[in-house]
Amino acid sequence: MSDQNIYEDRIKLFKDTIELKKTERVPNLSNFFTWKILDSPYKLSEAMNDYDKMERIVCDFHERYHFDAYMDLGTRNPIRVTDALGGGDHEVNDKTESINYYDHVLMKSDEYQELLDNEVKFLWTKVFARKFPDTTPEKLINAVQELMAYGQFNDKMTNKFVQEYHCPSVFNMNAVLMHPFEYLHNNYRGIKEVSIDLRKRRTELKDVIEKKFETQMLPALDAALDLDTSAYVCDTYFPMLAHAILSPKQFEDIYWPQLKQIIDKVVEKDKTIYIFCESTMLRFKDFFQDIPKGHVILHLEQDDIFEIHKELPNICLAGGMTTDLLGNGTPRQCIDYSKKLIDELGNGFIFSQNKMVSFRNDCTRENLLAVNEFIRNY
Amino acid sequence: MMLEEKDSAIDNPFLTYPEGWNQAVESLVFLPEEMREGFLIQFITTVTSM
Repeated sequence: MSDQNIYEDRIKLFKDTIELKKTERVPNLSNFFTWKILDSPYKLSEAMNDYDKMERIVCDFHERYHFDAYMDLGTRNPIRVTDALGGGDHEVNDKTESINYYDHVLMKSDEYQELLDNEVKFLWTKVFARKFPDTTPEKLINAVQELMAYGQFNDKMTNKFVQEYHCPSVFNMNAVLMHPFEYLHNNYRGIKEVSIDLRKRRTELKDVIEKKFETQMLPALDAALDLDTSAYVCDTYFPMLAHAILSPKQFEDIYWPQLKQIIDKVVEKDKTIYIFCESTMLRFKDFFQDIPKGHVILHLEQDDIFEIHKELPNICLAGGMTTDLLGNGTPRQCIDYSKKLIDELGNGFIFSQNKMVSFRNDCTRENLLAVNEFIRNY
Repeated sequence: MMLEEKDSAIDNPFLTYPEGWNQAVESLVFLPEEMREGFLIQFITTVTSM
């Protein structure tokens, strides 16, 4: 088979799977993140500060395990950018082989109106100032240059994987959409504070969500849906984390109205959306039951994927392989579970891991080699 | 550190609006003038999310 055919076959394999069509084999999508570094001779800090080393690590990873596509090509945690501004909220610990990201607060509870009145002023003088208080014109330029270098590295890796390894990219970086509540939860108010705001400042919080959605997210969605994304696994990408703190009633009130509009537009334009669901989704299953098949992929983390499959036969599911097994099971156990996943989930299943694989004990090399050889040939 | 403490420690004329902001926009000389402010908005949104 020619190189071009390998690439086109992979694209078709993913797209057919998303449309719940019968395929010759299941696509194998890597959800490995910093585990790749721990599987290499380099320390976390060495790799994350040196794009040449990171490139070698990611290429070695592919040459060893041969996935069809990758959620991460070494571009998560661009700490060089935030370090140029005096450091962010990541703590890279080579001794414990971990990266911690702290829940942090950059906005006070009584500042919603300021955010609504003039978002640029608020971001610059409050949010950015609190995160990077020692910014100077020189540091700003350095950080901008680092962000551009990061973008160039991202482009280089994407092109290399397409051209040399014939692996399609999962999504276009310009087609990443984020719910406004995610900004409040992940970045501005933090998990603990925004949980209180849900009860005490619901109206202000909703005002911010609705304004950001109308003025920023809808134009971004329209632009994303106009892109030619035929060479990607999916047309748009939507990461979800903040739903983890919501009840179904809160989800219906502050998250679903916007997400529904997005999904409706995706369906209307006959496009696809890859929803990466951290935490669990089962309690929100009712919201997804009427979505036409062929448009939505849910990548599940902590859910029972078999249960979700029963509840949502209209949705393509990704994930399944557990890090409990990859890290602690035998190759035989891992292969048996892989077979069960493929046999029971049938068409519309993208084989992947049930979390962003990050820690040494999440996986062993022996198990991953055994699983991927099985997937290629089953 | 509480936000009040953080705020009281910030004495940075560059992080003011509109003066410091305009200075930041103008410093992006490698970009066409009409693109600078949009780029800077995108930049601060991105890095405050990192």
